[in-house]
Amino acid sequence: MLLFKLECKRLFSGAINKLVLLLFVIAGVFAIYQGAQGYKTLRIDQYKSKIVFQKEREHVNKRETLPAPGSLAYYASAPTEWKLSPWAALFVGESHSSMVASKVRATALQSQIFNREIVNPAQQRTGGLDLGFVLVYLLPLVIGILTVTLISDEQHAGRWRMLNALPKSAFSQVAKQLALRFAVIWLLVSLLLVSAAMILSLPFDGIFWTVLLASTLYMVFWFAIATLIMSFGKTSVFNSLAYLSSWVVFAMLVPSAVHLYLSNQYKTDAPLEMSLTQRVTLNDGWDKDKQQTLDTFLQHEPNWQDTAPLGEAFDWKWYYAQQHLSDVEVAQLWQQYRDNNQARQQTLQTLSALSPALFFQLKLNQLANTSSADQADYRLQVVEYHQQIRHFFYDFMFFDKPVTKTDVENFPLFEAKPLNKEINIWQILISALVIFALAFFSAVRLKQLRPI
Amino acid sequence: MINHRVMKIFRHELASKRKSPSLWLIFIMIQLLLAIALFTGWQQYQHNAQTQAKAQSLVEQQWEAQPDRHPHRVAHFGHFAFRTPSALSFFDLGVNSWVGNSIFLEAHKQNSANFANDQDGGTLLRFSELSSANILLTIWPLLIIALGFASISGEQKSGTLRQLMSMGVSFRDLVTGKSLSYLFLSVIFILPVFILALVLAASTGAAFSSEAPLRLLLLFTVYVLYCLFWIGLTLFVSSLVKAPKQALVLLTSIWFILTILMPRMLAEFAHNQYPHQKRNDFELAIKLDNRKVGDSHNPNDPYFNKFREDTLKKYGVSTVEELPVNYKGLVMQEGEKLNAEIYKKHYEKQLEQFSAQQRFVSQFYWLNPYLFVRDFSMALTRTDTRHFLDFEQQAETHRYARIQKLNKLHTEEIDHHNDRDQRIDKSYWQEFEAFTYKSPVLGWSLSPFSLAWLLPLLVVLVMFGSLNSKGMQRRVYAAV
Repeated sequence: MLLFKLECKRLFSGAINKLVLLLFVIAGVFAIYQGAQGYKTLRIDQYKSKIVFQKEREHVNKRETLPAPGSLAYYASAPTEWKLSPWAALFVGESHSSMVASKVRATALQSQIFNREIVNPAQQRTGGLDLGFVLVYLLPLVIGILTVTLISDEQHAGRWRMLNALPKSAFSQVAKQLALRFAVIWLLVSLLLVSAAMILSLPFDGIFWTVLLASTLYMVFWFAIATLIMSFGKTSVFNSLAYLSSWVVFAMLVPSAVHLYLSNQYKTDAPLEMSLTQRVTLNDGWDKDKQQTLDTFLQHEPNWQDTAPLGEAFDWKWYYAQQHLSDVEVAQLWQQYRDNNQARQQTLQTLSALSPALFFQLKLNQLANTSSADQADYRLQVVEYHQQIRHFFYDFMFFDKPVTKTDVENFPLFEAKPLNKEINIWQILISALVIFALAFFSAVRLKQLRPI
Repeated sequence: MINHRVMKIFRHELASKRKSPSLWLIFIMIQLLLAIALFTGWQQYQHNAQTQAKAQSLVEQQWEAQPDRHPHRVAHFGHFAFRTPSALSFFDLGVNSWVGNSIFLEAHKQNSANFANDQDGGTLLRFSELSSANILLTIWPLLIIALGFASISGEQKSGTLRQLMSMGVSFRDLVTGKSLSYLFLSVIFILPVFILALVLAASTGAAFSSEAPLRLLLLFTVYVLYCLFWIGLTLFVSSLVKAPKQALVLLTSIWFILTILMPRMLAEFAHNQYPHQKRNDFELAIKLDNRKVGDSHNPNDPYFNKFREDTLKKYGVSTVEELPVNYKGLVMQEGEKLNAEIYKKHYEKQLEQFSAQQRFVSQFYWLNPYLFVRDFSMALTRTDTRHFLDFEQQAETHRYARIQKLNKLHTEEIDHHNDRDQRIDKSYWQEFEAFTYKSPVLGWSLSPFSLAWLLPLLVVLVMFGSLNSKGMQRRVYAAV
């Protein structure tokens, strides 16, 4: 007990140790606070979009006569929603740089789904500070500063030889010191997570425990790296530099190398080509035979085959038919873009094994439903909803049914797919296995370290 | 100031560093990293430049190849503006990844730039890309720290400082000699990448202007000054802290705070303090304002009723049919004008918030020269937010002029009667000027920094001043 107290005293005696722990907590609290704010603005955006649409709908229904279905469809921009769990406050992923409540209407789809959120690019460039950043990138540095010079300090102070002469091995002394540091840092991490959960009213469910478990494993990994470096028995300076270099490699160099590789390998101009092609198709449509356009459209959408042929005057059903045909025109490019995206995601998954920091970051974003795969998923939901809206209006336009107030009330609203994050037990188990193997190896090496 | 003793220390320090194999290894690795970064940046630049140029000429062709059409149809056909990457963007990618590359220009509507390259940014770009500028900004300081953290405290510890002093070497000589040797190493280290950048920039041909060498020279100067800041800081901490290990930990902590933690906190804080509108809010506000004015497509709109009366009065006729010009075209012109004014009002509000955010961050230039060098470097390579917004504004100006020209054709060449069914000759489409982005000149690029560089420079000078001060000398001597 006395020894424990002494060790605690030693841990908190150095000004730098205290400073680093304090910095960690400040950064964590700041990140949670910022995250809560940011999440609130996202939710407000989503909520407001719904309200605005509701108001517009009421406004339409207050009119004496409702406009023609085609005209109504033209102005009916319906809100959608990227379903985010409150974890998005802590692991923001792509949720701040892209639309979380994009609007969609029955006109050509492709010109609507590449809209971007307004961001200050300078802010994006800094990389943001969410709790994910604190855990993935700051935490390893804290571990490093507190541990990596433990033995070399003992050596330097001349105690290492003495400790080795004691009946209880020097190894067990160092192990105790490491365990103490692990416990202190783990407590801080848990404290941050628990307080974040309280502030954001996150349930203590599977995801919470997964995040805690994953953070613990991640800590074990960096402790193992520190132990491995110590086991070479070099000077404090060497240890510090070696640890810092491995941090730079895992946290900065590997992710940017992966980014470089992915952007080169999966370079695509499909979105641009799509918008260029679609524009020309839409415009040439006005000069083409309108009945022919309609007939082609009906081949794609046979449910409305029984519609009357076009007359002389402008008909909305032709307008929407050619809008849809312009989507059909670029369907192949769209598919290509999606396939390319998917392949990119898969490669990212595979390559993320190169760096535990990258892997951990990716998993955290996936747990919070904010990764780019989730974003692509949301986009697909918007595409499906777009079809639902089109089909809703087709009935009126193609069968000359007037829109009634009840129909306006019955306009289909976007329903986000419920969140069900499957927690991949196998992935956790395998990473745990690898990390513990590394930790064991480092511990064995450390045990064999003898004073020179 | 530079005597033979300083030179001796300078040479000795270089010789001792030359003997360290691990330093050599790190040097070579980072040199390689820089080369890779420059090369991939160059490839990316070329790819982007080609894609944008090709796309721009394609849309110009599409525009000119239009058949006889009604001008308003052409206004809806629209046009594109492509953002050609700036000539030095391969050195510093700046905010390029987070901004779109093309804007669709159409009637009644101001679109934003789309198709950015920020996929997986939330996972992979947490430290921005691996550009030459980023390596010099974040990784090179770490190496300076590794070179110099033990330079004073190490000599103290090993007792060599005492020997040096007994040989008549003053503390000032020591600091000057060591600073010079690290500066020398830094210059040797960063010079190749600048020479290579100059060669690459020169090979761009058309995009290479007389300004490029000047910009590169300024870049080089500011990065050398940045190295000096880190050298000064390293020697300063090394003189103040007794144990080399403590100096190292303190220096890396400072490095982490200055280059990683503080920029993020400031950016987030600035965003909270001066929030800009999100896309939905921005568009809603514009839509509501437009609705208040009226709908130019609706001939019985109250605002346009008044406009009609005014127009009739102006021409001294009693019905729109008697007007010598097409009234519908006039309505389009008026509508476009109002719409553009409303957009501009809201857009300028956004711009004000963006620049307020930037101003907030720039208040800390003196405390954290990293911020200054980062922003200055982006301005020099024309890759900062301001340059992007300049592109957006040039595109909007072009859009407005193009649409109004079409509306003028609508007014003058189309008869009011049976307006919709008429077309004008395709030869008119040849009379439109292509969109070309005019790159801002150096003076414009650097205008936000008018005096901002003074404070960071002063910080460096003060640091070296205090290193050379009597107080510091006494402090170090006392410890010997």
